[in-house]
Amino acid sequence: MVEQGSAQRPGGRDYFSLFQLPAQQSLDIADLTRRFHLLQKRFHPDNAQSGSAAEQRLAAQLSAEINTAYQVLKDPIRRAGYLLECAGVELPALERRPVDMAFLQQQILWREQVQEAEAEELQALTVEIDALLVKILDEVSPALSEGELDRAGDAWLRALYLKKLRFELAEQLERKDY
Amino acid sequence: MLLQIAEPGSTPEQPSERRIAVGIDLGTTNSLVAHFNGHETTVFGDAEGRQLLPSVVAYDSAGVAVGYAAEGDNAIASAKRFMGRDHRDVEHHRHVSLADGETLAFDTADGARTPVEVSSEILKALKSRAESVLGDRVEGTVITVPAYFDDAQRQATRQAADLAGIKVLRLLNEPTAAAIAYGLEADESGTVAVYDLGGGTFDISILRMERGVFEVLATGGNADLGGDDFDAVLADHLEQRAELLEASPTQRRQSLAMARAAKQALTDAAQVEVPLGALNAVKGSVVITRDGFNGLCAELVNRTLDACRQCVVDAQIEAVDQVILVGGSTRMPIVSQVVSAFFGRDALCSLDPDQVVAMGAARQADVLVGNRGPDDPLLLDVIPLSLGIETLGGLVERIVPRNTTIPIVRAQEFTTARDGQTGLDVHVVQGDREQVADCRSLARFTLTGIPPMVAGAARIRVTFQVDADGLLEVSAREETTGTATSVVVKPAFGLDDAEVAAMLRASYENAEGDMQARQLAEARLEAEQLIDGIANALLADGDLLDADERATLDQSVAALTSAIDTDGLMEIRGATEATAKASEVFAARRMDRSISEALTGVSLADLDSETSL
Repeated sequence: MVEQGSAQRPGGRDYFSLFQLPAQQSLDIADLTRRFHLLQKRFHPDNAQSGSAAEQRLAAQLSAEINTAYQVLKDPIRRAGYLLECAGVELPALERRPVDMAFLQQQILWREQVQEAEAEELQALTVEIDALLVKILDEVSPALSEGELDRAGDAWLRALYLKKLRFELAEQLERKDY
Repeated sequence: MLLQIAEPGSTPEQPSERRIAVGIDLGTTNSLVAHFNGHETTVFGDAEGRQLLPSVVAYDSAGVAVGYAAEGDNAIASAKRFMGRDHRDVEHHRHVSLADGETLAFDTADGARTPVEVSSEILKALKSRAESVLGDRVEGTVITVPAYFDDAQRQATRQAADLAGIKVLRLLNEPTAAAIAYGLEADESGTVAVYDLGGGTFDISILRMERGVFEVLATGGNADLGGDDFDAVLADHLEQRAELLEASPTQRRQSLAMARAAKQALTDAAQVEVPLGALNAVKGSVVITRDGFNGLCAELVNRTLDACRQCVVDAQIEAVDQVILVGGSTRMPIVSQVVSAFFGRDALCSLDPDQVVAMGAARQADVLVGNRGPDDPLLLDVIPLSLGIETLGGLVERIVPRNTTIPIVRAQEFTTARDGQTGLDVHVVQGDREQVADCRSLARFTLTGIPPMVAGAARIRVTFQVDADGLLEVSAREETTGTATSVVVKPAFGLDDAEVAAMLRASYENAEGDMQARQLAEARLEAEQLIDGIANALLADGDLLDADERATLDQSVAALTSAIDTDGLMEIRGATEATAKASEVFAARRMDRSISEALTGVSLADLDSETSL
């Protein structure tokens, strides 16, 4: 964890404190975007054009970090993954972990439904999955603060499955459109 | 090393006068240079008042001619098409004569010349145009490039600027420049189609803007379709009416000139009478109506619409909010009618379509050189094509996906494929296809000195850094031993730094004194800027340093101040470097403080700065 106010190289700061936001899953995207624009207005290399080469490098480094931080934080699943990584969880290993049977069976049912359903049902299912995704990811922060890394990791993993399903849903809906 | 930190809403402590920058539209057919003085934009002309500079260069033993002076049989035209390309890319351009050799170059009466060198001559001509009005106070330049330009083409454009002695503030996408010229960046959000029909090329781009963030959603077009094709269609018609079965080269030139004049007249007139005497002495004249001309052009216009249709599909949008017309050929009424009808929006054409890109570049140059006003938006550009490296089986592993906001740093870990492997070839490619063969090869380098390990044990971290211009630097590092290598990606068949330096030296040979004087002036300016920057920073945030740190910094500044008074280039540069180094810690602390400041005023509900991870 980086101390506030210390002379850290830009790479040493965590994404949440860069945006001065609490490190938690719940986040207002509009607020995040506003902060992103404020930071870029100050640190984008365009604003250091008149400075020395060294100043421009420093600004570019920080600006790049702001871009990366924004991209990670604005995506709910990447945000959850980042919280896990900060807690010391290795995501590639976590991805290989099996999920419980009940969840897997539910997945299979949904997949079948996606293949056979009409446009209206697909839309209803999309709404359902989106809501579930938010609910599952909301478990990450409390689990982490209670030190339950497994439970937090499990939530993230299930979110990954749902994201894939969500992707298939979107594809299927597109096909129905034509 | 101090960041110049200004409130986003306020102009930094201004030196007494406004800083001066220009914008350059380096076009395939014509180029222009413009300046924005805070109130209005001026496009500079030559002594005869002509604002367009034909992008044509001729070499002979006597020297170099650029623009109108160069037009003729031996001139090199359309050098832009060859920027950052190699022999394979240009096979279909049979009309140019290329010099033998690995590097793509034109054969001229004065030896081989690369596209970069040719472009630098055009840039020099524009630079001297600007300087004839603004003097030597031009501090920076924005040069526009097509949105689809890949890294190699952007690098080549940069090199041409270096060679011309131009300090580039930013390479700006042409459609973005057009949108800026119309002030569209002030809009909260929306999509814009930029339809650019030039002399020999057609580009269509769809942009999305959101609070000063410009994103290129899709680009398309036809590199071999432009106003010249419209002239040719009308010239064919005139020859037919003159009952000229086979036109001699001279007659063809005449009919093309007549066609061009008629086309231009039809922009305002409903019909035009064209005398055919020059083509066939026994013929009188023929009347061309606008409708008749439109009929002749319908097929060409429709081809541009096919590209527009594809672009809309690629952009995955339903409709656009604005349409901008760029390029002299959009003056043809048929073009604006058809384009407006296609997009269902009245196309913006109040600015001169030949000048709109240069005007936008001038406005952005003014902002970038340091005249940022409270309402000036920040343009956040994205990279047009994905960047990646080659992995097993000739497949591309994408490291920076297209449309990623830049600047950006991305790293990915790879490992060795064979037991005992001590080297790793890194092949950097750009493109959005799965196969390496379908992407553009940007650079290859080898990481050596990996200690022999079993396959899969080495951890090689490949880092891509893309700067705000979209230029790439790639480095690779073996994590267990720290073996590292890096490469600034250069156009695969371009010039290396040594070659650029040699050319620069050659171009200064006759002006040795000038060069020294200029270097000294530049070093002084940089030193003075650094001193001013530190003074302002100390005034604002002096409390971040303790007494000892403050004394060290003050000492260093005092040494730099006295170095400026000497005429020693090396002394000034050395002292500048030392002072920059001495201010590094201060700069980093100020950066932390200014992050907090940048975000004050944002609603800080739930803000818990003690939250730790």
